[in-house]
Amino acid sequence: MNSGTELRLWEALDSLATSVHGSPEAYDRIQRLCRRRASRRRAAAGALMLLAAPAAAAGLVAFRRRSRSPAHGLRATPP
Amino acid sequence: MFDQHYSRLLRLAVLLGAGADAEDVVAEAFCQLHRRWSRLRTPDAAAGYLRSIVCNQTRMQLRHRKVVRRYAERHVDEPVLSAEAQALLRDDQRLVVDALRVLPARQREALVLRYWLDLKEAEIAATMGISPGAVKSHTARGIAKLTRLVQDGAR
Repeated sequence: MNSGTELRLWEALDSLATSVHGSPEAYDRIQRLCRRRASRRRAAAGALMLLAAPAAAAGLVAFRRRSRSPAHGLRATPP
Repeated sequence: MFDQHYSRLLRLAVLLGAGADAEDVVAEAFCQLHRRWSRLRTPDAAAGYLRSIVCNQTRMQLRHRKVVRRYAERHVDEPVLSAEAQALLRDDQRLVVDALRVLPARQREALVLRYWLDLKEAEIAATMGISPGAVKSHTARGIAKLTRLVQDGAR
């Protein structure tokens, strides 16, 4: 039904596509962008670990205290 | 990977209406692929993944442009065809390209993926993140509207 339009669309898209060329430094640009983002992610992860470390340490101490209590100890040890 | 896919993705971004932002869109796609490379099921999935990101990013750019145009006082330039494209396109082809730009983003995506990339319905569905039935309906509505617009423009 619309085969005329389909053909015209295909031709127009093909012609428009052939007029598109990327810049020669595109690859270097993408590499730089990836490297910058990766270093930002590493820095953010490091900061997060520093923030999380005291909380995790406090949690561990609380867990050890709890597991030393007689009630927990009795339940945790196998017969 | 870059050599194999870059120019095709760049063309896809331009055809979808990214205009001058096309290179940014494709650069973003490669960066996202780089970040999530380990999560890919197979390396063969990379091409489809890149295509999906280009579609999503272009849609986001268009939406952003629309919002800026609505709220910002400064004038936002509509993407225009490059001088080379102007020279290469015949009048009737320019009419089709202009009509394509008026279509809703989803319909335009379905038509470009179908008629330019020659993808199958299932591949288009995977790229756009919709069902094959929705692809059918977007394609049919898109082509019908395009026909109307081109006929109106030719008069």
